[in-house]
Amino acid sequence: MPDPHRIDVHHHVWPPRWLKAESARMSGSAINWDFVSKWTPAMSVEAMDRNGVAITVNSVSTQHVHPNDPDGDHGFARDCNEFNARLAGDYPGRFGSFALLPLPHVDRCLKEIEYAGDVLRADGFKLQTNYIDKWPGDPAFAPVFDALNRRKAAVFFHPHTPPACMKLLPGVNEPLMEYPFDTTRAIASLIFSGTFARCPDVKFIFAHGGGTIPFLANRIGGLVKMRPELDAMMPHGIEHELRKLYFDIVSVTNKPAWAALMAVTTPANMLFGTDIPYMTFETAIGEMGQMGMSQADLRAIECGNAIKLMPTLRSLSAQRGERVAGA
Amino acid sequence: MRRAGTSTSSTSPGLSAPNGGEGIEKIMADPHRIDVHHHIVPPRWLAEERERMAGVAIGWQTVAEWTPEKSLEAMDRNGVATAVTSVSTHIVRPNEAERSASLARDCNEFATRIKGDHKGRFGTFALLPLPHVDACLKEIAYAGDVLKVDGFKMQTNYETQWPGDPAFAPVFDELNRRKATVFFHPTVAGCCKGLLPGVNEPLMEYPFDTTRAIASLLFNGTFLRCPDVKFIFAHGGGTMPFLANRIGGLVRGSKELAAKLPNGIVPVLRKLNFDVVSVTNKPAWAALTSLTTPQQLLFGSDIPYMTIEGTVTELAQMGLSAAEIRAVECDNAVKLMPSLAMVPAR
Repeated sequence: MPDPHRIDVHHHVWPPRWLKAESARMSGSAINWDFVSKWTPAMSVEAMDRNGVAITVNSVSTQHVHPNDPDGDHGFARDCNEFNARLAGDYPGRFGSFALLPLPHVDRCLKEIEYAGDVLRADGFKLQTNYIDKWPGDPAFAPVFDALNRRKAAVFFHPHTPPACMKLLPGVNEPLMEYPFDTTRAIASLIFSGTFARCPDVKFIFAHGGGTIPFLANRIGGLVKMRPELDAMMPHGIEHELRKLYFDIVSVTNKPAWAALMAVTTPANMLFGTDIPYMTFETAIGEMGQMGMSQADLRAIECGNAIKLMPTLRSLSAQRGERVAGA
Repeated sequence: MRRAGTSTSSTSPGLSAPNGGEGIEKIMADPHRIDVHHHIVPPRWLAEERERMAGVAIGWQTVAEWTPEKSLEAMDRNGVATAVTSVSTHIVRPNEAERSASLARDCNEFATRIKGDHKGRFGTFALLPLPHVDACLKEIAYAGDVLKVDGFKMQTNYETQWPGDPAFAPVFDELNRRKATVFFHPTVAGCCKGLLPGVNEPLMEYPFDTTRAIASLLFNGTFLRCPDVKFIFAHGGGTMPFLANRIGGLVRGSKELAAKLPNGIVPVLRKLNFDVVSVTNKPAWAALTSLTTPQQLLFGSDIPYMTIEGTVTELAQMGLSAAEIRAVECDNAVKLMPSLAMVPAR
C-alpha cells in the first residue's frame, strides 16, 4: 500500500439530501453523474487506500441557491454538515469536512458557522464563488467574513456557474470554462471589496489554482491603477494579496498553468486536491509528480500545507493510529 | 525609416543586447515595429458609441480625444513603423442589418483615408458587420477588393452568438478562400454585463470572452475547416494558455471530438496567433510561452486604452533573444500580412 500521507482538500461527497435535491439539475449537466448517483463513502475510502490518501476534507460540489427560502437552504446545509460529521465518525481519521454555509442568508450562515464550528467541529467552511447575482465580496456578506476572521477559519471556495453564464456555448459543458472564470471573479470581488485586507486571519482556499487569476493578475493589478478607489483596496499591490491565498492543484498540474502559478505564488500556498469523481486520484498524483517540485515541496503540497492551515487535521491523523501525516 | 521586412534580422545592429543597457534604447528608437492592436476612433463610431463606452472604458477621455496625429506621435516616440488599425468594440444590432453595414462601411472608409493620408504608417483591419452574414460577405468583398485592407476584425461575441456559431460558417469559408487575416477583439458578452458592481468589465470579461471565442471556433470545427485563415487573438488568447489543458479535457471525454482532434487541442492552438497586450509579465508570459512559440506572437499596444511604451519596455524584459523580439515586433506580422511589407516608405 502506498505511503498514506496525502490530504485531499478538493473531495466531493453526496449526502442523500443533496442527491435528492440536486439530481434534476445535475443529471443533465454533470460529468460522471452515473458514478455520483451511486457513490458510497466506502468507494472513497477504497480509492484513498489505493492512492496513499490519508484524509480527504469533504465538501459538496455546488448547490441550488434559493434567495427566498432561508429555512430550506439552512436545512439543506445542516443536513449535509451532519452527514459529513457522521462520515467522520464512521471512518475515524479518514474524513475531514468543509461545512456548507447557507449564503446568501447571512443570519442563517452565522448560526451554521457556530454550529458546524463548535458542535460538529468542522475543519473549515465551504462557500460558492457566486450566489446568483452576488459574489463573495458583496457588502451584504461582510458579517460572515468577519465571523470567519474571528475564528481564523479556513474557507474553501468552490466554483459555480452564475445563472447568467449558463448555456452560452452549445455542446460545451459550463464547468469547463465558466468555473475558472467565476473563481477569478470571486477573487476579484474579495480584493476590490477590501475583504482580503479586512479579514487577514481567514485562510482563503480557491479551487483549480485560482481559476485564471495567475494569468490575469498583472492585467487586473495594472488596469486598476487608473481607478484609485479600487487600487486603494490593495495598498500593497495585487501580488501581495495573492501571496496570502491558497490554491488547490486541480486542473493546473500542467506546464502552462503551473508556470503561471509558480510566478505568482509559492509551493507553500498549494494544496493537493483531486475533484473526485470529475478527476481521479491517479491523475492528480501522477501529474503533480511531474511539475518539477523538490521532495520537500511535494510533501508540503500533498499534506504539510493543509495541516498548517487546518490544525484539526493533525488529530485526525492521530485517530487513525497510523503515521502522523505531514509536517 | 527602416522598413519592416520578412528577412530574419538577428544581425541587425543595435539589437544584440535586448535585456538592458544601450540595446533597449536603440530598440526603442529603431522604427521597425508593427502594432497589430491599435485602435482608431472614427467620427461615426464615436457618435454611436460615446454613451456606452463612457460608462465602461478605462481612460475614456483619452479615447474620445483621439486623432490620427496622436497615434502618429506615440508611434514615432516608440519606434512603431506601422499600426494596423481597428475599432475596439461596437454595439451589436441583430435587428438592424443596414445600420450595422453602414457603420462598418463608414469606419472602413475612414481607416482607408488615414492610411492614404499617412503613407506607410497605417494598415487596416476592416470592421465586419456580423451577425449579419450577407452584409458581412459584401463588406469582405468591398473592403478586400476595393479598399485593399490588410485583414478583418471581428468581435469575440455577437451578443448570443460566438464566432464558431454554425450561422457564421459562410463568413469563415469566404475568409478562408481569401487566406485572410482576422483579428478578434474581445467584447463583454451580453450575459456578463454588470456582474461585479464598480469593476470595469474589460478587466476580466474581455479575457474570458476571448477564451470562449477560441473554444467556440475549436469545438465547432472552424479552425479545422478553415486552415488558411490566419487567426489573431488579443491579449495572448485571453486566458486560453492557462486553461488549455482543462479545456482539452472536453476532447479527451468525447469520442466525437476525439475523432476530429486526434492529438487534442494543442496542435490547433499552435497554429493561432496572439498579440502580447497584457501578457508581457512573468506569470502570463510563462503560461503563454509554454503553449506557443515566439513565432505565434505579435506586437500590439491597445492604444489609446493603454500605451505603446508599456508593451515595448515589458516585452524587452521577457527573456527573448534579439531575433525573437524582432520577430514578435514586426517579422511575424509581415509573414501573416505580406501587404504590410509593400507599404511604401514614408
